[in-house]
Amino acid sequence: MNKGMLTVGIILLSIVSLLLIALISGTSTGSELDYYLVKETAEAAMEDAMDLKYYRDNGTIRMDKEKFVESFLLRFADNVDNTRNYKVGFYDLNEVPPKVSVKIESSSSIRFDNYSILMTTTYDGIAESNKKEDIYIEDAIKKKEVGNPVILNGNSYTDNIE
Amino acid sequence: MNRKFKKRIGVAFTAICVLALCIVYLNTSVQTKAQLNDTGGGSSSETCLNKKNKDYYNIGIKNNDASRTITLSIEHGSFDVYVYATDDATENALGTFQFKLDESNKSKTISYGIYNTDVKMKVIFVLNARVEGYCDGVQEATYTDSNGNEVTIKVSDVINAYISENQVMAIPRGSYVYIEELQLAGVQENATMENTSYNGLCKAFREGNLEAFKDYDLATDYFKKFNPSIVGGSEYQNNYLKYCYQTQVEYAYKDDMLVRMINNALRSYAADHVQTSSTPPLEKPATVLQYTPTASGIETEKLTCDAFSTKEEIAASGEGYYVNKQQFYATATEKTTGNYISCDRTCEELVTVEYGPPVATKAGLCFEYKVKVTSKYNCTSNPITINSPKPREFCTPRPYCHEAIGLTDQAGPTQEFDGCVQQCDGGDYSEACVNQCYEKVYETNTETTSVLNLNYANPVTVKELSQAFNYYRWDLNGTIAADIVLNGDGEYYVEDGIIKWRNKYGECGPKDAACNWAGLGRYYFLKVPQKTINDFKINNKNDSAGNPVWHYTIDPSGFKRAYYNGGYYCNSVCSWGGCSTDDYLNPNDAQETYQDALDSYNEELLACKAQASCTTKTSTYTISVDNKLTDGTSNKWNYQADLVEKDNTTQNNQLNGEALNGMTIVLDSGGTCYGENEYKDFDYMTEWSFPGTWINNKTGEISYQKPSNSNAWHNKEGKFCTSLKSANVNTDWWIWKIDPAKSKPKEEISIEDYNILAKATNFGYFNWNISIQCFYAIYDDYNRECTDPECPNGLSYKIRSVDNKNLFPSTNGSITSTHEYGRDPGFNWSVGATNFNNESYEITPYALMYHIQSSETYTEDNIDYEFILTKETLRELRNYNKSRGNYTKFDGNVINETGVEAYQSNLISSGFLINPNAKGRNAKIGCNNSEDPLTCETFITDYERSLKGGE
Repeated sequence: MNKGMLTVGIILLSIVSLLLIALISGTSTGSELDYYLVKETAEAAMEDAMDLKYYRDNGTIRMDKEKFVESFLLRFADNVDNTRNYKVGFYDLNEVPPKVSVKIESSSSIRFDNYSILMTTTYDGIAESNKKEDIYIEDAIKKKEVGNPVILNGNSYTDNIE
Repeated sequence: MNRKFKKRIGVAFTAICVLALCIVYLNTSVQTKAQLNDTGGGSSSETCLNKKNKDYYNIGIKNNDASRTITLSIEHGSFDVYVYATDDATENALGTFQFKLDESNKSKTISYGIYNTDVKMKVIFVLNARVEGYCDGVQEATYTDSNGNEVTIKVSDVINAYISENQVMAIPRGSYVYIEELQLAGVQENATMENTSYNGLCKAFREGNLEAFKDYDLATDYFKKFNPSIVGGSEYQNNYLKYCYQTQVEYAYKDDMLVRMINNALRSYAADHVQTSSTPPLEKPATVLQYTPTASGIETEKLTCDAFSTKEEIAASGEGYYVNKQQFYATATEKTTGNYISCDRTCEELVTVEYGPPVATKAGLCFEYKVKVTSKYNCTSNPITINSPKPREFCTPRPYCHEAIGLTDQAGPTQEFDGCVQQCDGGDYSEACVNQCYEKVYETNTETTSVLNLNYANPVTVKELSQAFNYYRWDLNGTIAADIVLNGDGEYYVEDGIIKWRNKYGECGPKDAACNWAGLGRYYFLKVPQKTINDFKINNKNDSAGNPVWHYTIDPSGFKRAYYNGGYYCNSVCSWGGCSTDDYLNPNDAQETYQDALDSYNEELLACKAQASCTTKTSTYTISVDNKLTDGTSNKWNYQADLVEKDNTTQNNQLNGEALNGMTIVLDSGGTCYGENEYKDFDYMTEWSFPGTWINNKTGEISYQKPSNSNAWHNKEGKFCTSLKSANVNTDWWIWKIDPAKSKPKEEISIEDYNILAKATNFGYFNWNISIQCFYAIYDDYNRECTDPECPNGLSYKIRSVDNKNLFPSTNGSITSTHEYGRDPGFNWSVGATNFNNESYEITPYALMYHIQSSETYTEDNIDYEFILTKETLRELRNYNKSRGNYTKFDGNVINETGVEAYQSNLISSGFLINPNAKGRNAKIGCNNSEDPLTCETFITDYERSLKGGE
């Protein structure tokens, strides 16, 4: 192989390598799709959504669904790169006891014939009491002293909060 | 007769004359009373030793009650006759008169008319004995005065004879003086006025027709209970309101005055028919604690809640809450005496104090502690009327006119003048006749005056109507307007001891329409007002030019007075008399005094009853709690409220000395003393607790004061919420209460801290001061086994990343089946946390664990929310974050549709983030979890069904 062909070969190989690097880079999990980003965001949002009022009424912890979702979205939007679109799904949210499942989907920025590579990250988390036993609450549940519906004035109500 | 004998006779005669003069002097200085033979009573005196005696002169004084006249007569001599008339009650001069009687004019009849007060009439006959010659030959004489001195007087002397204490009359010595003093009984004329209310308000009163009084200020409560149709009319007719049972009355009252009289009559009747109260004594329980009332109240011993009430009692709800109860009893007797009422009263009071059991709780949770005090007391009250108010009579002063000596009798009505004119021109009052009669009656001939006209006696004379209607304002039809009859715009009053008349219009005559005859004293309308009106009418005469010549008018003092050609004909001195200045001179005065007396009476009566039934004081209630924290500090919360028992309202609501805005610790209050129907079993009842704690809907922060923006907070009414950092307290009792199987024997349990204190001050009739102490207990460390090394009191949890197939992995990470826990979960994921108390928000941790571990999570059926975040959306969210400043400034709403307050995000509900294809975009807010997000149906297993009772 003459030098000219070798030079061309090297150049082509370099181009292929660059393309390959770009492709790999575009499809791998960057910082915005890092599992830990999702985990930290979800756990922080769960913390935000803890309902202390419910605790004072019932002695157990509750996570408010929409508070969690709102807080997650706001935190997530601040932390991801604004270079692509995301689909964020919340699955089987449970308030008492608190449990969340979050799924983040995004497509690669490099497309082949209008097809892109789909990337997915999921997170599952719960909030768990530190105490394994709470005889006081168990007793209160049996006596119906907690967990009873708190309907103000006999009707549902909508209330602005700050 | 020899000379010596004549001389002795002369000496004797001289001595007799001197002695006679002395007697004259002495006797004329003494007021004596005489009584005519035909009237009886009295005494007489003769004051001159003379040849003649009374029988010779034959002085006669005859009174004729029927005709109201006195006839004075003599047989011999020439007498100056003086007549003095005075009001027997007030000693005020009523009139004087003087004339002569001699052998050519031996008698004179005096008309003294009609009057309503007793009159003392003194008649003095004076004969100048020297002139008459009966004392001739005696020029002087001596007598011995009271000091033993010999006094010589001459016949020519004039001596002062004291007619009375205030009247001195100069009498020539040697006069024959005869004094008679008559007491003439007053005559009260009967009323002749029609009672215009007899068939009006009086009829409504008699028949109990309340509707007729709708436009008047009637004492309705009294009327409903005591009107004549209910209690009978006899007492009203005889005592309280004769007026309404008479068709003819002395004085016709206006409606307002009549209603006032009716009110007073009703109240007077009620006062005289006071019902004494007598109720059975209270039953004293065997366990009651007895106290003796003191002026400062009763301080009871401090009550302590029973820490070891049976669990069954404590578990009971509603009325069963009050497991602690103590009763107190006191009795006292007292007597008070007022101006009208003597009040004997014996009272006993039974106070019941009920208070709740101690509370076992958990740091951060809320509890209630209630106390209720009730009072039932019984008083036997016996108000005795010692001085009952009675209707007050009023006296209408009459005009008393008299002439100064030397003047003609021009006072008051001019019957003599009228009679003269009537004879002259038939009553036409021509100028010539008027002048002629005036000269005849008033200027020339006092001797011809035949009447000692005590003008108060006959003030009104019925005259025929004349044709002179054109001068005064009156009703041509002869009817009298009510305000004229009643003359209500004027009043009698006393000034410097003199009775006067005034009206609010100032000086005015009947012609002045605005005066409405108010200028004329009420007396002239008292009997027959039409007569007075007619008097004014018929005596109105005009001259040929139409100018008023002769008529009656009203003088500034309210007297009817003759008026002639620009001046008063009648110059008599007139005054209002016949009433004492201590009398009530006007109907208003009498009714007002009567009403005031009734007011005072009723105040005393009510005071007797009020003291015997309800107090109107203010009682004070407090409740405090000492919330100790894990850091060793203590938060003490002291609540207070005053209950104004008078109107059953609270005030002075405080927390630690500061105003407790919009909240009070008083849950309920009432009893018969407040007119409450709900608590008839009690006279006083107050129930109090904590005023409530405000919890922030978003953060769970608590506030013991009402927040300014209370919409963002929820009030746990009646509850005190402990701090999340509350320290353990009274732990032994907590175990006894919550886990009795592991508790010490209760005999070994001591209560280390009574941290709840309640107090009632000044409560009930005897002002009880009651204190109660109890406690709450926290033991968050009890049986503690933690999933995390850090396991503080209160809200304590850990957020974990989990594997959906193995939520709680064992130490080796394995589980045998999807419905098993690999390890013991935290309490909220354990079976013990299962809670079906709220059917709309059931909590089933075990079923949830089983569902998660046994199914795929990331399926389309499980999507609750799904969002597409584009570059533009992300940019908007970042801008949204910048505008808000933090992630937890939740600005949505709180919705409570399932018994749990759930947040509704504006960000989500706005829809711009939602993936239009997401199934879970309409996830129902307030659902705990569900297989179908639209129905909130809860995951449940056979295990939970068994817990629910096999559903």
